[in-house]
Amino acid sequence: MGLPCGLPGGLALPLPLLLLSLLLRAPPASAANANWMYLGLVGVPPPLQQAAPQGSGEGEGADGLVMEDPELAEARAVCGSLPGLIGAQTNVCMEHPSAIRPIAEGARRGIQECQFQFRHERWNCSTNEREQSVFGYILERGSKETAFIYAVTSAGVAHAITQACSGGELTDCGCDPGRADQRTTPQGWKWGGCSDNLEYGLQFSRKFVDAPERGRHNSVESKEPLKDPKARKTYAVRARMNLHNNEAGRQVVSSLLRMHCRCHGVSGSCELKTCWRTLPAFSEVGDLLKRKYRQAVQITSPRGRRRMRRKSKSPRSGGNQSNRGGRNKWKRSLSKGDLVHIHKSPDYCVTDPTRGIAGTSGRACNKTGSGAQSCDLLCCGRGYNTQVVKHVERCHCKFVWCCYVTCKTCETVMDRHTCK
Amino acid sequence: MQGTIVENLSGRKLSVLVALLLIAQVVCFLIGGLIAPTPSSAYNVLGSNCVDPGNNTQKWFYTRGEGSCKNRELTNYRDAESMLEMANRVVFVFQIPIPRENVILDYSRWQQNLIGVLQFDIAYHSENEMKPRTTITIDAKLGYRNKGDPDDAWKPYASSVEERSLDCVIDSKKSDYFYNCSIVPLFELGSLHHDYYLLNIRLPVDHFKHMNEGLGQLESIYLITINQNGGFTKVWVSLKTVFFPFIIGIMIWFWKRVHQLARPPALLEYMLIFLGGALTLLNAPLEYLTLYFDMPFMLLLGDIKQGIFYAALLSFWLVFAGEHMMVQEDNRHNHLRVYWKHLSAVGVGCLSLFIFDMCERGIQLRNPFYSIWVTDIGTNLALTFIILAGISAGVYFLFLSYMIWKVFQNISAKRSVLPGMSAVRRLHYEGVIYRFKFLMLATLLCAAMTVVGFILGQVAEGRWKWDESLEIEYTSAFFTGVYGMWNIYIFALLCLYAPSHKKWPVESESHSNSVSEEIEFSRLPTEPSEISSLASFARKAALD
Repeated sequence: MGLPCGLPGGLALPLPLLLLSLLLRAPPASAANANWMYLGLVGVPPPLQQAAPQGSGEGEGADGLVMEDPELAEARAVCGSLPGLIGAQTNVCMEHPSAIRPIAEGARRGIQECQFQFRHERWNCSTNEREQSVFGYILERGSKETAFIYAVTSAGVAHAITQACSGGELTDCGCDPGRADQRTTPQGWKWGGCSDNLEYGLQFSRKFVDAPERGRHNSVESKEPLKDPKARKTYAVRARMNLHNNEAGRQVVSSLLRMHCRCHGVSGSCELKTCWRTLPAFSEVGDLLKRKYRQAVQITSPRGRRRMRRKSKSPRSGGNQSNRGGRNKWKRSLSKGDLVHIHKSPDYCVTDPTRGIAGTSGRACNKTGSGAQSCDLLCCGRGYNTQVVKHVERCHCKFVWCCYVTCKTCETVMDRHTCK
Repeated sequence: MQGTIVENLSGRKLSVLVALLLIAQVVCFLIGGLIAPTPSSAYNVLGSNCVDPGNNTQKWFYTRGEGSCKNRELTNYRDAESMLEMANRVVFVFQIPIPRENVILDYSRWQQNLIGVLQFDIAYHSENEMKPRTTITIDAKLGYRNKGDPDDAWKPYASSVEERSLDCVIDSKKSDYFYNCSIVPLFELGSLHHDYYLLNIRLPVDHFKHMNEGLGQLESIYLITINQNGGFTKVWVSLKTVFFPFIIGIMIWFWKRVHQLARPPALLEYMLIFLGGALTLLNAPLEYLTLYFDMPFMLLLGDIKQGIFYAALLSFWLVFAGEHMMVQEDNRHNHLRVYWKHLSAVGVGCLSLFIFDMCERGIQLRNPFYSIWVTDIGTNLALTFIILAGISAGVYFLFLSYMIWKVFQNISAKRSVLPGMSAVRRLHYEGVIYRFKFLMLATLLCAAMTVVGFILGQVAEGRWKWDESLEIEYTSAFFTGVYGMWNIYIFALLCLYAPSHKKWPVESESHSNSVSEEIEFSRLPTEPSEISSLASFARKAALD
């Protein structure tokens, strides 16, 4: 694996202390590893001339092979320079080099949606651009927030890949022509058509996003020296949790698909009808995931963990979901679309640089509101400062569909509250 | 009318024939279910946004191949004045078919037709709310290219500036949520003659004409293309190719038999030949020609052929019921004129559907972007014709039910006086009753199966099983099954309702008819009471 801990430059703590704190508090799964979600922050860098593997765990050496195939060389140039990928993911990238751009877009969409959804909460889904693990400690914690991040980025990749397939920019989207007849693509397509792009998007997300967890899940021993069987077990539980949440994110995307039909039988009658499904706006996915986040199930008992394993392996979904929270959470049946976590959320109120928690001081809050953005809740009882600011905004706008808008500017004077 | 084969056929022969036809029916169903793929498939194509550098409305914009344009993200709501021009210069490009598994796909002529539907993803924006109904103006241009042509050699196929209305609703008014917009039918191509197609769409903005001003924050446009599946066409055409000679053969046989009789052909025989002819027209595998020639009128032709077939079938049922009325003045019937009231219902219905079809698909031959439904006048016109057709259908079924009810009344009336009749008359009436009941049974069965199959298909479609692989392709099975069923039905009609060669006792003859024929007739599986009535007949004859 790559970096044991993406050391952010801004952190003043010495390394031993950081490691110590991680060992003490965090589940001993792994330290803040580089993560593929980093692509969502930095995008896909321009391809290198000669692929020079950069720190983040290449599957194979680039220089050992003769570069006779220009496509392969290009793929290597693109995939070689990517930060945060593990070996298996680099392999996926090598197979589908054009997919890396939609993947980065998916990660970006996921992170953006996360920040939008949590803009008023104590944890506001802040990212650290200098850190390849993107979310740092939060991603390792195994809390509800971890679950949300995994789900939303996995959903983002499925969403973006599906869209890229429909746009024709991703040319290697699967066709999967028919069940019984195993025809190759052109003939199969002419015979019976191709499957929906969404299936490919979901499949691809499974292949790429789940790769690190599968690696963890299957070969726990190989990479990290986890001699302690208990630690290994915890590690595997975390992998299962991530897999489940990844799948939950994808499940949400497919549950939000809209179906449309068109009749085109004799004289346009509905004797013959063809239906298709369209993707939802990603903000809908984010909203539903946020709802699932609020009802996230904490798995504490070994029995619950076993159930999670079973559920994440079995393809059928549980379907119904109850809003029952409380003590006996693990007793309710866990459905495929539920978010699960194994640890409680940390305290997001106070700044904790060792864990990358920014705290809520300085955040804008709502004095009169009652929700999460209310000053009472957001400031954790520390009180707030009030400033009078002149707010300049656009108003009375007239829009034209693509790109044009005429607005007036309106000035309002308002109070701005920030947490102490 | 003299006796037909169905009355004179022994029960064993009849059951063998019926069994053979049933097997053929099952085979038709299975061919559709196991071999054929779904009749058609739909693909979502996301439009790429190209920017026209000048104002080149003649230029083709495409996204793949040499000289393609770059996809640009639509940057929404910039304040710069120059951005106004932008809206008029953005071209939404759809190059179809889209590649799969790194293969550049091309359309096959077996795929027959192409329907294009637009779907607008419009995000909600609190400052730019959309009205529930907006009229949008679409400047669409469709081009084609064939294999081997250079990448930029797009040739124009059709172009038009079309107005469409867009109904958009939103449940939760949140920023960046998409409106739930109605789909916008864009074009319908009756032939898929070329390999690649390219659609360029602009949404021009004009403040003087208030053109496209009401459009919200458009995020993307999807084009949904629906084409028939090549495999389905192949199976369908093979089915037609098999049925075609069979029906022609049985028609020739039928007509020969009719001409062997001394009398001129009866009305029912004319109707049967007409029905066979309509079916032959439907069966003619003209699809083979589309593999070599561009025939965009195939959709219209298919509708017309189907319409003629329905007209023939409906008229046949009417005339059949009328001819079995068993009223005394037989000469009065036997002319189509007698049925003008009843048949006019069929005529009006079919004519109004024909006019509607000509207005929709006929005009689409000239302009594939045309649709009668987009304007209010057109919609009203179309609805008028469809309602007219519906009313005629209702009137028709009233007539038909009335006639069938009449026939059944006559049957029961006749049955009570049957034993007291002379042998010839009795045989005649029993034959009439049997013929009628047989057809009633067969028709009801076919109609019920069609309706049940259709409803099942609709229900199955509504549930849209997408993640379990269903082994039987139900929709295709329904189509081939129903198609085969009506073919078999008409085949059986032509076969069983052909005049029998077995001599009937003629009115002038004496009552000393041969015993063997009586026995053969008595074997018919009509009613058990038949034998006892025969016995009573014998007694009566002896008394006479």
